[in-house]
Amino acid sequence: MTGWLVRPRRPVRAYSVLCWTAVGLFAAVLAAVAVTIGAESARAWAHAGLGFLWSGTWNPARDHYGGGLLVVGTVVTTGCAMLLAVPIGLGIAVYLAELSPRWLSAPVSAAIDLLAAVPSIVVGLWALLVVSPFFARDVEPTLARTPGLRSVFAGPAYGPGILLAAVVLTIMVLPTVVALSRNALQAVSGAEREAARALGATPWQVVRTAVLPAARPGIAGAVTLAVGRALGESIAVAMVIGNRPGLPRSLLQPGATLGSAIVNQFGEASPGLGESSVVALAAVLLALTVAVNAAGIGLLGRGGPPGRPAPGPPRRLAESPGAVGPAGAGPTGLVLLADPIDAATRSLPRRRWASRVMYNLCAACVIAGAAPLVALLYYTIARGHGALSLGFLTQAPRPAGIPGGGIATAISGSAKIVGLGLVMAVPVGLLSALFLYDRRGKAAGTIRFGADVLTGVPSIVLGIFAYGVLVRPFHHSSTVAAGFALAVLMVPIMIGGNEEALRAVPEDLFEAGLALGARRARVAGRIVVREALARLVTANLLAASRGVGETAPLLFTVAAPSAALTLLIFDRGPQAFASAQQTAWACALVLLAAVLALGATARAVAWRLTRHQR
Amino acid sequence: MTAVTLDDVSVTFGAHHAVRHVTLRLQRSRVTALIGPSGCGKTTVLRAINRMHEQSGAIVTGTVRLGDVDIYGPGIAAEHVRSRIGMVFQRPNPFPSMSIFDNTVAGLRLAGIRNKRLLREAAEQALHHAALWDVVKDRLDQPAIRLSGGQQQRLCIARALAVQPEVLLMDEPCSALDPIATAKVEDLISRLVPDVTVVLVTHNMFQATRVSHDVAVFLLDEDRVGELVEAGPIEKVFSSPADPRTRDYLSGHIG
Ligand SMILES: Nc1ncnc2c1ncn2[C@@H]1O[C@H](COP(=O)(O)OP(=O)(O)O)[C@@H](O)[C@H]1O
Ligand SMILES: [Mg+2]
Repeated sequence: MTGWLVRPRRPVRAYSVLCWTAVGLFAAVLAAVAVTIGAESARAWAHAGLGFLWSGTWNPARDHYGGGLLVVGTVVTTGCAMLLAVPIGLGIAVYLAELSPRWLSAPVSAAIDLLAAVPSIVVGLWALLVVSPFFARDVEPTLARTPGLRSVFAGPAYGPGILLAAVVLTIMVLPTVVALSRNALQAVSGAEREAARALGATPWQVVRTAVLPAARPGIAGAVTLAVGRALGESIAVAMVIGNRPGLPRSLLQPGATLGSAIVNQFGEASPGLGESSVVALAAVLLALTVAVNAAGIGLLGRGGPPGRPAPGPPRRLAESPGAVGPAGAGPTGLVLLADPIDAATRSLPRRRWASRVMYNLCAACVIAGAAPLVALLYYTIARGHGALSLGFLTQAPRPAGIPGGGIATAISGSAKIVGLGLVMAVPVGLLSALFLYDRRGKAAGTIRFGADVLTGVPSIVLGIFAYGVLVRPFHHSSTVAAGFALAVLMVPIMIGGNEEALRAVPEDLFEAGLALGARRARVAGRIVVREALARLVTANLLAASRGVGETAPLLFTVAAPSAALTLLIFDRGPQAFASAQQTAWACALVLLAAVLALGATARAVAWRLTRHQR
Repeated sequence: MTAVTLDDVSVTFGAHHAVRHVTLRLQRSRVTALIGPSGCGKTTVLRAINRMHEQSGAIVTGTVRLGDVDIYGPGIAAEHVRSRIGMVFQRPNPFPSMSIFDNTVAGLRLAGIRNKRLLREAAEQALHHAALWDVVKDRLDQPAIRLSGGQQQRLCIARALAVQPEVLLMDEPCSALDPIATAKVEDLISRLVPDVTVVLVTHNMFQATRVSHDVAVFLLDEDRVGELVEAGPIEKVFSSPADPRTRDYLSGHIG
């Protein structure tokens, strides 16, 4: 047990070198993303200048490229999604944190986490094949007929369009809004709730008076990060928005966003200016999301530790009370003009009614949030399981439209890509987290911030980055490039999760190691990692489950759709042949099962750990 | 005159009895101190008097009456009980996001009072009452958390008084304060009567002697469950306790 204490110094230095190397690699990748996107888009900027940002024409035939309409489309779609997601998400968060009975809040929270794990490509498939026909037949004509809404929902009901994209985005960002604002609400100290309750507040008044104001910075951060996510979502949007850029006059009309345009244009873009212009779209998207995410991270950071909310500005100003002379009585004897008890009594029925209304509204939000999840799971299972058979899982895909065949290459391809990604990401993620664990300086702060920002970078941008550094220079797509793209996506998630896992180890254990005479690095590397092992596994599994479900990073790095599950869904889902759609559903089911299995394993590990620690 | 009557009150947390068979009358316009070793259920009893247990999963049995109304009776709203029986907590807990003024009138706003003039007058009175007016009159719009701990606690008292409760429950209101702030709050408590009936939990015998008229002594019984041992006017209980356990407890703490 104590043998390592007396070992010579060399391994210690090796450990430090490893940590520095990992962090250096991470920092290099971070810089490379910015540099690559910048360099690859340079030609487009030189050609169109800043006019690229507002020119609305995208005409490759005449070498005219402008992203203005796409920026508008992105902002409009995201804005509509937030109009839906913020109230529903806040309602769910308030319900879970404040109003729900305790036995209910745990399973509902778990279901929300589940929704967060559903790959966007599966949401896109479901929206395209199930929700879109339903919208076109029932929802959109009704909206178009509703007085007052008519102007916003004018025109023919196609199904695919801005409205459907906004709904898909809502589903995608809802878990972010819920989880982060729930955390913010739960961080409000019980003392403030009790203060309000002791003054005779109804449950809703407690929330409104004591909880929401104190949680405001955290909620603002949650919403901002959700905006960042919505801006960057590309694949699911590309499947349902209709992909026709234009000034949105009606929400039923087809549109396009920066992300959806990149998805659709990049493959067809001519080398040179065309390609560079698509990368310029990615640059705009990158700048937008980094700005928004940095703001969100800043807001969440300013929320302060639990129980000590930041001293915001006072809610309401008193109007100079000096104008009124001391009323009647002095320090003893309360003589008031109105009897407050009487007022409290008279208003109580109304206040309780309001409280009940708000309670029901929040409960309705939970149902509104859970319904899509249930529907999505139902359709994926119902439509996917029919195709699944041993033959289907072990045969190679046939071309779209030709019945028969299977998805064997897609399964093995996905496994290879994710495996390769993990091989690259896990060591860097772990060593970087170890580097951060024991450091508080500027370098650590920068790396941490970099990891947080990279977590919010749209995966389509990372796909373009991997294409730029690993596909184009070598003139062919490769599993390595795809694995690299996934690794870049997973590393920041891993760094965050790993550092949290390491920090969960009690500080005195670290000090106990130091007291044994070991070096800090050594203690961190050996004792802390061992104690944190289960949590580390959880963090890495969760990051892996994110990687498994990604489509965008593979889009430009993998040669054929049949080489990955997510790509096969993206390829076959929109096709008219029943057999193609069936293949897509089957892939979705396999994918969902893999993602959920990873997530469930991660949580089981965490759960066993906490039980063991109790 | 009795303000609050507890009749055979027991409180359980799940399977755990915190305190049982408490029968006690709290006299109107007097300060009653609840004393006893820590863990004997003083806070638990206090929170049973304004139904603050309802969220924490505790079960209260027996009856608690305000005047002659059973506060746990059918048709009685907990919110209503709490606006008539105010509470001040161990740690000062002003609303951090609100100004001093907004904190003072928070209870009134919750009650639905919107009239600006009324709120202003009520705030001024309550702050006068809590001996805080002169300190804060020029900075009513500043955040309450800029005040010192003692001032925050007096602000919490003002906030509770603004609703004009009949009874004010105070759970060790000075335990987080320094001696000077403590003296100010004690002084304030003794001046709250006769307008308000005060129930004060304290572990400090000297504080009890200084500010209270009556005292109720809680101890742990053989099963380590809290029980009320003795209650009465403080001079009588402290000089000639009727129960030998009270005598033992007091001799350990006063000497
Ligand atoms: N929320 C709670 N859940 C479970 N047990 C509690 C809770 N609050 C108090 N208790 C128990 O009730 C008993 C009395 O506690 P308390 O009333 O706080 O004592 P005191 O205020 O006299 O120090 C203690 O045994 C304590 O463990
Ligand atoms: Mg106590």
